[in-house]
Amino acid sequence: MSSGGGSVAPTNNVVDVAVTGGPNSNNVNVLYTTVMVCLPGTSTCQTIDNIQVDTGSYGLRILAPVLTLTFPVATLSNGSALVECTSFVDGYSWGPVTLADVKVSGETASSVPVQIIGDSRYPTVPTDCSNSAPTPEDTVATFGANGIIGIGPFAQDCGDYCASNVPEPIVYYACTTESNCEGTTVAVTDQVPNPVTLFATDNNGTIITLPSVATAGAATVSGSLIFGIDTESNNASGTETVVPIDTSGYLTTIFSGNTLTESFIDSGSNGYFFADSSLSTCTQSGFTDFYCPASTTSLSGEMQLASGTSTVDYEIGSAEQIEASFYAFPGLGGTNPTAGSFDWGLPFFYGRRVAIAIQGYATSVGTGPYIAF
Amino acid sequence: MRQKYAGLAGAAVLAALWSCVASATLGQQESSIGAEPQLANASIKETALGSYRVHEILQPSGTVIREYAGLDGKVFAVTWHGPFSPNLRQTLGSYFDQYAAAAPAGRQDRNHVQVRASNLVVQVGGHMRAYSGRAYLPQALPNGVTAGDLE
Repeated sequence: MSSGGGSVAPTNNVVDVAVTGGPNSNNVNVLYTTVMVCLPGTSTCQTIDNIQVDTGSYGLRILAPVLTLTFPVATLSNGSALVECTSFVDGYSWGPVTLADVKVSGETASSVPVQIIGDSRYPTVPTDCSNSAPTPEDTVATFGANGIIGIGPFAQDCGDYCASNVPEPIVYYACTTESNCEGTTVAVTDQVPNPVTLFATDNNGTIITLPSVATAGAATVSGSLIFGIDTESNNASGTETVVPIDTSGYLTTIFSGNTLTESFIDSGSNGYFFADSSLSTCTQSGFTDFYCPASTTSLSGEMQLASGTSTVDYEIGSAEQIEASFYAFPGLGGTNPTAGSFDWGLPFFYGRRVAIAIQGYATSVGTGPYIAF
Repeated sequence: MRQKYAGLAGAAVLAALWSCVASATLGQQESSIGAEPQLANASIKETALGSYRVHEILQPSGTVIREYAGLDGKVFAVTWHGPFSPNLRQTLGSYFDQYAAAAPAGRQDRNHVQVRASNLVVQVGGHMRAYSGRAYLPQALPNGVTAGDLE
């Protein structure tokens, strides 16, 4: 209820987020925020902007070139350094797991495992890592951000499986030298976590609020990332729609008569990605996977709830017609390479208050993982 | 469009068997890479259809890889769904370099990659802890088989 949690005075649990061109001034619909990282147990800190806010991944990762501080590398019980290969669909990011105190708004988490990508202390990417995705993403230019804060509905980037198994492709490596690395198991508590789970309070999830954006788009968009759900007067659950998430992070979308069981809501995707053969795709080089209807087209899909469905209306415009100075465009859409998937990307967040509850954590309306709006 | 397993359910299932040997490399013979470490502990189900065979490989991690082989034994498609994407160099074999060179780099859509060439289609999507993909050789699809059959 909107009055729930009102007995607790809010701490500063809100950080600004914004859709901007990012460090490379060439992005559309990418959400950024600012975080502070400190050497553990000290007041020696660095503030880093242009950190992408991603509800489709888990963990804080920072590109090495933007760091002026040298964070200590996490070590395993046998003294080996812990180094990670992070596979995104479009690329892989290699670098050590370090320990940092993380401060965002008034929230603090101590000795958080944070991956540093492209760290010269571990320059040699294992072939198993470079074979996991098409291209390296270890610079600000290729990553498109100074870092990424993964705040999706799970608590770690791998979880229980990596605590007792070494997956293929290998995620975590034990390195005895800068280039002698082998796959290793890692206790859940030593894995790179969704940092929200390590906050002293407000640690059961997040809420992203962004204003509506005109059909033509906007130069930039400013909003808020609120920590916690039902923990303060500013993050109470109301009568929103609660969408259950399965253990893979998927929800089910029904679109155009098809039931798409590998769908997801993801601030780290920059558009709506779905199959609709009635929409024209673009013809310009580099845009051919995006939609370019002759005029803005109104569409709707249904999200499967615990009981019944919820209809979500959205619109698709031409990806080739975005004003050059605009970094936010609500009508960005493209084809989806996965037949059973509908990806509700950042445009879904425009004009909404979207809550992401973390697996195993309770709120007044349920237990994570769920997404509510 | 999406009718999961419809391709299997609708076709005559000639044989189904389990084995401890595995294989999955695009463009190679279906038995070519049984010694690959990522498959050493995998289980396989083979289903023979009219014009092709499907090997379904369940990796210990929970990722399901399906290998589609023509009656000549050549693998013309591989698909995967699960918490970890497969080793793409092994899965795509000699086509990995073509895929890596053609995949868009440095853009902000982290979660989808599509490469469509006359000889190779690779379509990958998903996000951390949940990946799906499909790679096939359009010129090697058996008669009557479409991309929609490859799940």
